Amino acid sequence: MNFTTISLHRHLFAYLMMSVVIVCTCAFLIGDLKPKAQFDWLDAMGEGGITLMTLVWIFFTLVSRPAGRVTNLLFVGLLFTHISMLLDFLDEFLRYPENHEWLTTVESLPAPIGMVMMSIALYHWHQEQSAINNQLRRTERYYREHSLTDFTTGLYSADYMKHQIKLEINHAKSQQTSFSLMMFDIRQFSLFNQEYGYQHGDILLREIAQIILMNIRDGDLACRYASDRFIVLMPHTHQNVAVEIERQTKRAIEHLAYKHDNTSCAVYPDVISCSHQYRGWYSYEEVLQDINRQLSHAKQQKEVKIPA
Amino acid sequence: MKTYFEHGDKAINAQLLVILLVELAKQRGVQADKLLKGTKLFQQDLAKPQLRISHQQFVKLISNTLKYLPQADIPFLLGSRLFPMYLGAIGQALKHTRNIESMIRVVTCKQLAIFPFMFMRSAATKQHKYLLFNQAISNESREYQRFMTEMLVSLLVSIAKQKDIPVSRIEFKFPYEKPNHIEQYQAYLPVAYRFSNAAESSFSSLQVKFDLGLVKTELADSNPVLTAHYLKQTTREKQNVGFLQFMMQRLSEQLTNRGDVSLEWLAEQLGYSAATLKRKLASHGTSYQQLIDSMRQQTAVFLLTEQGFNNEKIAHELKFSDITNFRRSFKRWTGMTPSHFLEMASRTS
Repeated sequence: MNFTTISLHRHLFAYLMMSVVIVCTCAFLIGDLKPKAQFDWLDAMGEGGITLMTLVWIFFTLVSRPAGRVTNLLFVGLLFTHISMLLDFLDEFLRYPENHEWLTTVESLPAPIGMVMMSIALYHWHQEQSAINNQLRRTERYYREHSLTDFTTGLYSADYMKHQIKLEINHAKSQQTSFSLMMFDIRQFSLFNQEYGYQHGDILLREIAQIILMNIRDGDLACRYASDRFIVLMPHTHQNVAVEIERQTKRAIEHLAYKHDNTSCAVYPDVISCSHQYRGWYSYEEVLQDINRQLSHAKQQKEVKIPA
Repeated sequence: MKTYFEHGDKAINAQLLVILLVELAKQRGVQADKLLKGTKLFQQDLAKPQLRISHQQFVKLISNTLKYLPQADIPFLLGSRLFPMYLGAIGQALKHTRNIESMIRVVTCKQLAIFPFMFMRSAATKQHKYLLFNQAISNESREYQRFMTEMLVSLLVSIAKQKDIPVSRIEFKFPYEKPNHIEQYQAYLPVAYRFSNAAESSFSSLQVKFDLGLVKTELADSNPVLTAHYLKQTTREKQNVGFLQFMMQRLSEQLTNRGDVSLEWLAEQLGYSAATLKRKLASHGTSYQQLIDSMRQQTAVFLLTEQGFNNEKIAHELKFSDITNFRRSFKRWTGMTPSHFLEMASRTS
């Protein structure tokens, strides 16, 4: 598990501790302990369980979210709910004196307030998620599976692309449409790695991934295929359009001035690219094999051209 | 006189490989202690000079890797990073070899230092040269075998690229069926390649095939003096070989010379009782019968598909008494007759 966000929420954890301590001390100061015979263990266990669960929710909310308004709202909402549950739980062991009967009425008050706040927080979360989804366009299509993301570039990996191509082929088959694929391969990437180190190699890949994303359209999907190879799926796209986008993207990549240290010295990546239109009568394996073959063909052509 | 090392002997100098792997794991958010769990290795061991580990430890490390770093590009990345820096003086020696022939010589002499996990044999037909790679120490799981094969081919390709060998004239044949992560092969291996069919994959070896003409072609960075210079720097200690490699080499010498071998003969040669040898073979994941079968199957398939020999010639080569006997054995190894097998092989390639 990744706990890097915990340090962002130190003050929230402090609030949580403080509230729990205050609630417990107040309850114990005001109330008296019931005789043991009056404990209802089953009830206590049930309520204790709920109290504990709300704590777990608070913990997971904090470890999985960055700091911000939505997180704060969620936290306060959960905290209020937690306080209600805690009071309810303490009730099982404590009897409050006559003049403090109000406590039993008050104890259920924080929960509804907390739930209202959480509802507001969820509404904002929904809006936040739409904003994130908007950022994710061109890297994701209708389906989310975090285990398929590529570690280096942040794009999805080849497995995700295979899944999407399968869907696209089915779609193309039933709707009589077609789609295009385009592929990019960085030349001399292993030499670059040897010269500047693997960390720079990874950064270069990440930057090229960003450039590809900037140059394709909404509705297109870019994935890292393997090594220094990227693949883009363009649904409902004719060959001519694909070639045009391929040309534009290739130009953009070739103009990336990659700087490996604090000088103005730059390395310009050299790429090979290809694109092709497919219809629904092939399997995804055949389609992928074909686009890779087209790429090696493009590579050979380029190698032939250089000495001439 | 024991000139081989066993599964549990600390004979492998894989320090740099382990460091590389641990580094890669860290980059991907997997802690070193997780990767080293159960290997009896600790992070501080990695800094010790001349650390040697056993194959057993190494296999555990790879099975941890397969579990915690399941991304398919790991073996390819490792292989491509091994050359030339991580191979040290031998890497430099290889870098300056004159042609493939001298390269093969360096690899044969220094195999333990370069890649102790698999051993290389060469073979040739009229037009082609073949390099065949088999497990050198013990028989392990298919996943391990594939991981190591992928690492080795990635290493070979990075050497070939460095030496400007026209990689398009090389063909790899993998000892397993086509895997799901074919994209790694497409991106990392700019060579022709094919996979074994289910029938032969249990016993086959990695095969690298290229034109005979390529063997003596002068390569980039050729400098025999530098090669000799760097080779002198490498340690001159006696090179033990892995257990399986030793057994297979012994057996194949005997098979070509005399044609008949037995478990008892092998045990006597090594100074063991038959029972001890049996136990040792079992602890390396194999048996006498399996060794003999895999060697004969590999030879038979090679003669059949690459040399184009007919059944009679192969039966003679393998010292079978008659063709019927050979055909029966072949069917036992692969589940099909030689002619059927040939038909299958030509269809898959």
